[in-house]
Order: sequence, then structure tokens, then C-alpha cells
Amino acid sequence: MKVMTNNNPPISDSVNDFIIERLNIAGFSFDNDHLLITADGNIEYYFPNPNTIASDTVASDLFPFLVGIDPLNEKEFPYIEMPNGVIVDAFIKPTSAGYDVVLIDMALQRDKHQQVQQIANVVSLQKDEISAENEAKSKFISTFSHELKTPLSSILGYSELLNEPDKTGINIAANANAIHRNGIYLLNLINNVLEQGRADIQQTTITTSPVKLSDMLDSVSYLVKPLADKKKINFSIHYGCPEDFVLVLDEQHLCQVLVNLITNSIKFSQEGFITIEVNYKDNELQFIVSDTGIGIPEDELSTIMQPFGRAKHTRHIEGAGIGLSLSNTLVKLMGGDLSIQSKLGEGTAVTVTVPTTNAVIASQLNGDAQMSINRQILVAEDDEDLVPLIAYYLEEAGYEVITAMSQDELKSELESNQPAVILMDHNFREANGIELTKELLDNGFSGKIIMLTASSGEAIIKQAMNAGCSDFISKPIDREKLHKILAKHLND
Amino acid sequence: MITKKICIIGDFAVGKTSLINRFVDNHFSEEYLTTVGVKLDTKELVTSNGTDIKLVIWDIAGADELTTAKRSYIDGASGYILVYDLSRPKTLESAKQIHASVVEEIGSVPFVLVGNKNDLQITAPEPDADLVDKSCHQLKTSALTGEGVADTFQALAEAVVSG
Repeated sequence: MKVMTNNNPPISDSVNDFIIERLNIAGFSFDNDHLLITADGNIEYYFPNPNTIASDTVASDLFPFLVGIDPLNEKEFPYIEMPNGVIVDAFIKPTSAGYDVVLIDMALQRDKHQQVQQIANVVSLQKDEISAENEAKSKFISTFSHELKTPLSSILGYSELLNEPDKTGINIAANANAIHRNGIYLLNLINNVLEQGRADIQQTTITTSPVKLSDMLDSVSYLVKPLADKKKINFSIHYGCPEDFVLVLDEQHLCQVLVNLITNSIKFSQEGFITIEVNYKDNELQFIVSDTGIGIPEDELSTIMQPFGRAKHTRHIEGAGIGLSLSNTLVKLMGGDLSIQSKLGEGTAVTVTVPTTNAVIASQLNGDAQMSINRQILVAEDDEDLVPLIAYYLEEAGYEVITAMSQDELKSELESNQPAVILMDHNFREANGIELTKELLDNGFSGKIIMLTASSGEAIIKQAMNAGCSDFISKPIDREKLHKILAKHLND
Repeated sequence: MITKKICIIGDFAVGKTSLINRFVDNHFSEEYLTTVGVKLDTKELVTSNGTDIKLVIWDIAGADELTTAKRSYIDGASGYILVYDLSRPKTLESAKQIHASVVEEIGSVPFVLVGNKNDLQITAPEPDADLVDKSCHQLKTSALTGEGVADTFQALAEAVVSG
């Protein structure tokens, strides 16, 4: 029980002192001319050297938050962080002489509030990101479905025509060409999407090998020239370096980049020309793909570099908007650079630069390598539609072909033949092509084994190479690529 | 020297504090630290007509609208910078709402419309002509690279001085 006597100071004094100390309260009185009259409370907390504050200091010099406001109206500013770092709630109250400014230290409360708000804001940002990703996925599915359906419709339509019992009046070659062209388009689209997916999860592997420049560009030309011819666009390649330079490159990905860039040029050109200019300098290979197409507005150049990004004025033209962004990703992965110069209505030039090794001239590599070559190929494949097609591709290139559609047939053929190469199906009927490869090599098979696989997974390709395969060919089988890989291994 | 209060407003995480840090201290931090309440800074400039001006800059915590407490922060501002994030389209919508709240609170004063984070992929559409017409300037900035930052504050200072 407390006892009050007349000698005790009023309890309110102690309470006031306690509150002022704990909350660091300070009050400042100003007159109507905004000059300081008096200050009280824990002034040192805000102004460590209060003696320097003159009695006629102008209010806004002490407190910048007073600039612009009318202090004769009562005001409250919560959580103000002053230029000197102190955090206060500021109260402005009119008085008979002018006005008072009262400060309360809020550093602790503001920090706690900030922690909570920080979490809320970060969660909100993450929610927005997820929502944007979902939107992009939905857009992708819708665009991709459309892009698949268009060439598929052509393939189905033309193949139906070829199946007509009466073929009078049907241009078989033209229909077959249309099927082939649409098939190539589909394959390119699917490859791009798969590659983009791999790049998104950092699974794209850059694999380099010696490549003859003209061979690589001939493959690219084989794919894109028919498309340019169809639109009567002149397509040409200009070499600023020897055509038979051999360079160490990731041929597969570089071809993918060039095909993407040229098909874009064809897509967005109605007439004129498309050129590839090839230059080599200081261990850098440069391609400039130029066209006389519709061009890209400058403010949309960054948009079209993004996956599914399309310039506004091209949205009526077919395309998923994935080729350029993927090409950019692949070039960066190869350690190179991709840049675009474009003028609306005049055309576009895309420059790709990739690092490479010292170039050598191909003819200096294999001067007299043309010796008697075993050209027998064993096709170990169980798909009865695919075997005759592969055999046709091989025979037209002058190879001798033997086929095996089961493990027993394979072993039987190997008893009487010594093929230079076995094209081994990865899923060969009852056997695993990789296991079979190991077994054949362990048993002394001295030729080369090349894996045929419908899977684009890097893991399977690595397993095949580890098992002793010399190379791999992805399905669907590209005739030019098949010839090229066989030539490469038979000339080794 | 004249002293004027200006505010920088916009949705959260559009880069308001980063723009001020770039302008006042020529500094940029990748770390996102949300502002709570308001942070004051000052910076002196000279306008093209030779007027010395000290800007008291109010960095007001972001939100998609101005709450009652935040409305008091706007009071007495001679101008403001309205910021949206070029990589987040919804922040442009927020900017329009915030602009409407500000006009309701203090009437029409000069403002600069700023699309920040120009170093990132732009996904926000171009702002409505109506909003652009009302602003005294429209700029794209990057607090990361410094692009357009000084121009933004200079443009607002010019507009504030010319009244």
C-alpha cells in the first residue's frame, strides 16, 4: 500500500520522465514565424548536440517534413525516417503562440512492421510470377496446338490424295514435296520446343567436333532453300573465308540456329533476297543472315527475343515465336553473341558470332585418304516401315545394306558378314540397343556402332556413347544427316 | 535557394527507393527492402533558368492505392514522380489509381510518369494517352544502370519551378 505525503513529488512527474525516456519523446514549440521558441524532452536522442540549435532556428531546417505543409492544421505523420536515419511518429499541433512539433521514437515498431510487410510483399511478388508463368504456359499450349495442326492438316490432306485409287490429274511429286516440307516444319518446331525446354532447365549440352564449313551450310541450305524457292525469294550463301575450312563447333545447335533465323527471314519476306554471309577472324566464326522482309520496330526488338514474343505487326503470320529466343539462348550457351539490326519495311540482319578453334583447310587433312572402304551397313531395326526407308537412303548413297529385325537375325548376319557400321535401334525388339552394343563390342565386333534413337534425352545419348557407340542419329531420320554421319565415320 | 517538397509514389517494389538512392547517393542495391511509412531525403539542383532548388523528397511506401495515413504524406507536395514497373503490367494499373487518389487529395500539380526497370524485359503496355498528356514528362528509367534517373528529377524540378 502506497502512502502519499505532502513531501513527495507528484507521481505524474515520475510517470512523465519514464515515458519520455522509454519513448524518446521530444517537443518543440515554434511561433507563427516558424522560429523555435523552446524545446523539451529527450532532445539529445534526435540532436546529439542540442546546444547547436539556436533559439531562432527555422522549423523546416530542423524538420524537413514541415516543408510545404500548413502547421496551423493539426497533423500526424506516422513512421517518418528522417535524412539522419531516426524513425519517428511526428505530431503537429497548433498552439496560441504558433504550433508544437512532438516526436516519438518508432524505430523498433517500424522495424517489426517492416519485417511483416517485407514477407507480405515478397509473397505477393512470387504469386504474380507464378501467375505470369501459368499464363505463359496456357498461351504456349494454345499457340503450339495451332502450330502443330496447320502442317498436320497439310500432311493428312496430301497423303489422302496420294492414296486415291485414281491418281489421274494428281501431281504426285508436288504432293510428296508438300508432305515433306510440312514434315520438316513440324520436326523443326518440335526440336525447338524440346531444346527450349532443355535450355530452361539447363540441360542443353554443347558438344563440339570438327566440322567442314561448307558441309554444315549445305545441310542448312537443303532444309531452307525449298521454302525460299516456293516464295520466289533468292537465297544465297557468301563466303568471306574458304568454304572448306574445318572448325571445331557444335554443329547440331549451330545448324538449328541458322535454320531458325533463315526460316524466320523466309516467313517475314514476300520478295527480294535472303543471304548468309560467313566470315572467320581471330578464332571467331560470324554469320550474318540478312533479308529484305517486313522488318521489326525498334521498340519491339527486346520483345521478340523472349520466348513466344511476336512483333505486333506479324501476328497474322504463322509461327510460335520461339525460334529467335531459342537461337539466342543456344548462341549464348556456345559462348557467342546474337544481335539484330532492323528497319521497319526494309529488312533485318541478324549477326551470330561464335568462338571456335583455329581453322584448317579440309583438303590438307585427308590428302590421300581415299582408300578402299568397306561400305557395308547393317541396319538393326525392328520397325518394318522404317527398315526399307533407311535401306533406300543407304543404297541411293552407294552403301551395301543388310538388315536384321531381331537379335537372332543380327547375330546370324554377323556370322557371315563384317559390316563397317551397325545402325543399332535403341529399343531393338526384345533387346536393349545399349546392352547389345556392349555385348557385340565385348565379343570382338571391330566396326562402328551408331545408335538410332527416338529419344532426345541427353542421358540416353551419353549411355550409348559410354557403351562404345561411335555416334547417334535421332529419329525421324534425316537423309542428309544419315549420309553425313556415315561418311564421317567411314572416312575416319 | 527555394525548398520544395516532392513525393515519389507507385505500387510496391517498382523501384522508388532505388531511384532515389541512385539520384541522391549514386548507389544501387539488388536487395529488395520494402519501405514502411516514408523516408525523407534532400538534394539540391539548379534548373535551366539558374534557380537553385532544394528538393525534399518523400519516398512513400508503395501500395495499389493511397490509404488515409498515406494521404497525409502527400499534403503540401509541389510535384510528384509516379512510378510503375515496366516488367509488371499491373503496376501501371496501380499507378493510374494512385494518380486519381493524389488528384483528389491535392489537386493537379506537376508530375513525371516513370516506367522503371528498363533494363528488364518490358511487358507493361504503353500508358494511356490520357495519363501521359496529364504528366509534364514521361520517361523510361533504370535505377540499375542510372538511365533516365537524373533526367526525371531534373524534369520535375523544372516543372515545379516554372509553376
